[in-house]
Amino acid sequence: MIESNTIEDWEAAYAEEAKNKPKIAYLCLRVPPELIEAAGAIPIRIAPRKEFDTSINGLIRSDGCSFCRSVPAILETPCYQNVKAVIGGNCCDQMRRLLDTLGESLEIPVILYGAPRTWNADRSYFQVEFQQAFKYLFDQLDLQLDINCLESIIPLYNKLRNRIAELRMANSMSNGLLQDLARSSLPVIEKLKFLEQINTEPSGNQPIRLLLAGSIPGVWELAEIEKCGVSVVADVTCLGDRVFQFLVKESGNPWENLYDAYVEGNLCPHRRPVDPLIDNIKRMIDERAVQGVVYRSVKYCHPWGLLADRMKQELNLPVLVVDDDLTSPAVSNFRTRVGAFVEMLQSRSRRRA
Amino acid sequence: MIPAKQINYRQWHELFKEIPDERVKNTRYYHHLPDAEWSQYLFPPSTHAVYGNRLLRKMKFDNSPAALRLWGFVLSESERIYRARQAGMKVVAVVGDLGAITPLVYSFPDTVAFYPDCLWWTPFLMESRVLFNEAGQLGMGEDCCFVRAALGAFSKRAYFPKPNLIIGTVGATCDDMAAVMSGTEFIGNDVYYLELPARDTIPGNQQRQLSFLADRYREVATRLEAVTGHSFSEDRLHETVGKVNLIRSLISEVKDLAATTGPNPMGGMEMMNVEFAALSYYGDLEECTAVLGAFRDEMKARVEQQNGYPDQPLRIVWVTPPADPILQNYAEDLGARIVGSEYVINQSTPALKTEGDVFENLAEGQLAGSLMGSSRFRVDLVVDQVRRAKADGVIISGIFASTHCPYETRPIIDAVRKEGVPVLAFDVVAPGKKQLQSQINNRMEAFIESLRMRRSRRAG
Repeated sequence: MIESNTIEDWEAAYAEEAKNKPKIAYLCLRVPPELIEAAGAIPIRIAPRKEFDTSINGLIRSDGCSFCRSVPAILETPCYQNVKAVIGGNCCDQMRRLLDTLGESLEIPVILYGAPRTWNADRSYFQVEFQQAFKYLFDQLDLQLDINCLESIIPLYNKLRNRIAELRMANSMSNGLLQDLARSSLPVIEKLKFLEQINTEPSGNQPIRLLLAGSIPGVWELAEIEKCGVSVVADVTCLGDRVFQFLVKESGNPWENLYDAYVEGNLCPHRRPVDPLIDNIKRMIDERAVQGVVYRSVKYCHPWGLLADRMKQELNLPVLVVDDDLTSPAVSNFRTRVGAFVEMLQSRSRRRA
Repeated sequence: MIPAKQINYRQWHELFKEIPDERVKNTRYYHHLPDAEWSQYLFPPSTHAVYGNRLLRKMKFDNSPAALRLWGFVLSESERIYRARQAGMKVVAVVGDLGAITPLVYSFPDTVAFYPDCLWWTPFLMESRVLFNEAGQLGMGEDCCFVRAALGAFSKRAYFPKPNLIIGTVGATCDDMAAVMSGTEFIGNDVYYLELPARDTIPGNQQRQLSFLADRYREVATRLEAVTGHSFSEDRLHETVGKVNLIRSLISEVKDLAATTGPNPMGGMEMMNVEFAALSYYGDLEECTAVLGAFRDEMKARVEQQNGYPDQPLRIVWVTPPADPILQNYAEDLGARIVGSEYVINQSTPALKTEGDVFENLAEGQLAGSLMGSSRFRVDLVVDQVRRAKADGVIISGIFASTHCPYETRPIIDAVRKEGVPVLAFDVVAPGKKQLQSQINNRMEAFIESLRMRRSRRAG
């Protein structure tokens, strides 16, 4: 089994080389890091980090989504130092408003582009919006997008996706490493090298196979779940398998291909109707022989939180629904509930045997 | 002229006896249908209280027949939509866009629209948590704002007839309503989704947004053709837009009259009912125009004759509609009057253009929406109201767990304070939470007291 913590060493080793490149922070799965990398910048996903100070959250009221409330604090952590701009595609309403709030409070460009929340709304409109936003971003930072570089990076990202899918299906990559890779700002080539040098022996079969669903995870939930002696074999949170799930077409117009994969193909719960997301989860459950679902939403995350009940009815599996607040995590409660859930699954499994 | 005052439901019960029978008989909706007793709607609040709107027993109402007619019209909307369905009209539920699409719906013959979103005040009016509990059973608890009542209503099937079409607006709108739509779908309703683009994105894309939205409206027109069996007619839409503009201009005129410097000519709740008429015209465009026309005449006469409520000198701008209507009564009892408002429905405020592409004109109206762009836009709307109305203070009645209040409240407070105007912000609490409710009352009392002292200090 690959150890997830080694990626930090790679990031530390790469830090010197990265020093002279501008960092662009981005929000969510609608932003292709390929584009940022091809413009000579470092794409860095805005996601919970170990060091973030939960007390810095004064911009947004306490009944806002706790991830959105955490973002100002997350941006204060060392890895976001010297970020030159923030970009995000319109996804859930709170994410849109978060970008607006950041735009008012940060002294760097914060760019939001429209993106569809229905299916097949009018791709020409949204594609232009997407393209113009990145051009605007690069103009603001005086960066030049190198199309040749972009065309060569897209296959590398696909290679990374294929490799990750392969390792995940073979039970050779822990979910922790998967999330670390999703958070990581390493260039794709470094991520590939990293994957080459690690041990890919399949882990021993864990008796219980879980799927993790829900809002963006913090930094501790996964460890707590795995402590219960289970294996998270599928992860549909926005730091999980969905990050690497879909390949980008390599021939034709790269803008169109990136748009298709990241914007049109986006399977987030804010899209209506929500059936394609549910179908995708069901497919993963079948493919990976999942026995139970831990559905963890952060407080006031409406797209995931208000979908929990429906998911419970649709998935036809034991589902544990847990609410959490990233700004004041209830670790012990979480541990107790997951522990009880796993015990229930274990006894169910024993009964069946 | 009768001196203007606010009276309770018992007083209205008595006063109602003075209203001639002929007037009661002739106050009807759906005039195009054969004369029928069921379409009368001029009743005292006590009658509506008997039908379940228990909060009316605690509220105060304006004492003019024009205001009574308005209340009757508003409170009979649910019944009216059922009648429409019985009479063979098509009923379209329009969810989420709050006022932008209804001119298009009404341009189709024998078709009416309503907003399930507006069911959010029903639990307050009925002093009942039935709709919230029902939504809770379907997975939408207190993490969702009060619009979850709409899901409860869809599930209960007793608050409006099954719509012939449900149009659900998603995109740059709140996620609570998007969750309601999803829940509605899950319990067996088809939802036709309409994409609303985020407004304040990259610079210079306004024309593209306009064209995008106009195309969506064309698609809606096609869908309405299929549902109603009538072809879309540009002439009919022009005609409907003319009527809608008349309603919007009446509302604008009434708002100006409410902000005059003389005594307060009208109650805040009546004013809010007027403003919300712009959403779906309470299910009858023609009658709505007549109701608002009579209301405007009453207010105009009162302003000319300086006939208003005594002892309400403090001028308040109210931000975000209070789901609990009694809050405005409470502020008025304490000596405040509502001279301006920003009720998140700015898209239904501007007069629609009558020249050029009809769909682009509708789109342009929608793009003035309160909630589809940056918080800065809404902050400016509030500041504009504060300046125009020369407000003494601002009250923000927030919506707990909505997707906009957590982000907008702070910037609005900061901007209003920068104008030198005090502001009170609180979240409306659900029915039955008496202790929390009394905290709000205490805060309002202290706030209005401080405004009064500030005013007297300034007067020397």
